[in-house]
Amino acid sequence: MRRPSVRAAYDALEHEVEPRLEALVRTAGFAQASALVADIRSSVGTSVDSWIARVLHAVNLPAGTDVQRLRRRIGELDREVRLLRLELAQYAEERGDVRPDGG
Amino acid sequence: MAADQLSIIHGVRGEVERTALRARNGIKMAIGVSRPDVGRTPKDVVWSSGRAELWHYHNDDVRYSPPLLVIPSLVSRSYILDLTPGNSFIEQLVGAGLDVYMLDWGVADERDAANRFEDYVDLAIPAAIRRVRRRSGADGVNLLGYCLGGVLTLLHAAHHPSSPLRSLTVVACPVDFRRLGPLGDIFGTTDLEVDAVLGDDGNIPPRVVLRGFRSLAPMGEITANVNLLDRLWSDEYVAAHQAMTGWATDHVPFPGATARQMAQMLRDNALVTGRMELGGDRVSLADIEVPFLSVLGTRDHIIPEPASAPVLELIGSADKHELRLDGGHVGLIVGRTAQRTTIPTLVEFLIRRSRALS
Repeated sequence: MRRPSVRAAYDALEHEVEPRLEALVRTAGFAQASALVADIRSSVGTSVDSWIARVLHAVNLPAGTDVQRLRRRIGELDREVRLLRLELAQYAEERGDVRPDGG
Repeated sequence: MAADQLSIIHGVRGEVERTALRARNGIKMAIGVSRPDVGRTPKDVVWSSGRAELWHYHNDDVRYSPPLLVIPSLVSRSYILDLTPGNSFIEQLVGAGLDVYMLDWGVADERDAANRFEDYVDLAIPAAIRRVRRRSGADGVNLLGYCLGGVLTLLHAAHHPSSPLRSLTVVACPVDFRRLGPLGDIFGTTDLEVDAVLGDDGNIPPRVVLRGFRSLAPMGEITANVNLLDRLWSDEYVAAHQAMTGWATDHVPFPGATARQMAQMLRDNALVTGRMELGGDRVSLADIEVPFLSVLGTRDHIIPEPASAPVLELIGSADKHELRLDGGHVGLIVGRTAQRTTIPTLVEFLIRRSRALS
């Protein structure tokens, strides 16, 4: 009744605009621009973080980047343990030495 | 009363009813009381490692062996494969008499930031296969990978030619990264380093993944909302919309070290050029010799057809098949195309390579 005309208008608009937008995001320029924006954002973030860290370190306090580094180190250790467990389970299976729970 | 007048009254009454239903559904959506239940097919967790869990779906009527092990993507939630009752890829496979397992990767955090492809391909998938074989008593498994999960299964099969795979199926799986479009171009053709987009936990944050996917269909979100407005009166449509848009915006962090390897894969177009390395070994898809099925969609805007189609030429299997459907990335596993074509074809492929249980 009333909707089809509104819907038809949107469909016509979409039909016109979407292919152009899709073509735009598939250009090398779009990839370069997106990469540049990500790079700038990262550089700004790093500069701000390092300035904050300097201030906090000056008063002997840990900065967010220190906590972040620590979290990543713990994460790496967790991964090492996880991989060792998987390798051990594989080794145990190859030897036919499997626990009743299958572990 | 004239037929014309009756028709007008009928039309007005219908529109009033729909307006009332629109208002009701709109209010329910606004206050969040109509969220659909997803991932509801009954299952048990039968193994876990870190965030990863191996799920075994309940099935009292398993008619074929060996079991099917499903590997989902690393960047999205696995419930897309078990969306809602009546519209679930997993549910339909279970209903066809298959013994179905899924290796869910969970939500990566800082403990996964250093995860590499080798962690998944050489350790987690083999461990899951061992567990499936032990539980089922089968001597092998049928393996299926969706999207990036397909890449994991290809790498596993290629790096472990002696892996006990009865067959391998990939759905919407990219292999030619030069043809991937914007998602591939941003790392494949620019100097952008993955580290520039990493979050505090060392992983690519879900919002970055989401932004990447949204850029592929710039008007997709607006169109989805216009469609919703149009069909807001339909409970069924609203539920499907909520389930789909809920999933499409519900990404998980992508482990940083895997993302770095992925960026290198994109730059080298490694699966096509044979420059993929795992644990110091060159990995070639030509080493895959198990029965193989590739399912791809001609309207897939995330993994375009030219990015997924070359897999058939790259693998070494003599018994290899392609199912090319008029569908999108999600339409291959959810909705009518999936129910009528993808799943029946897949089930037939698997049954022919399985043993019927008496």
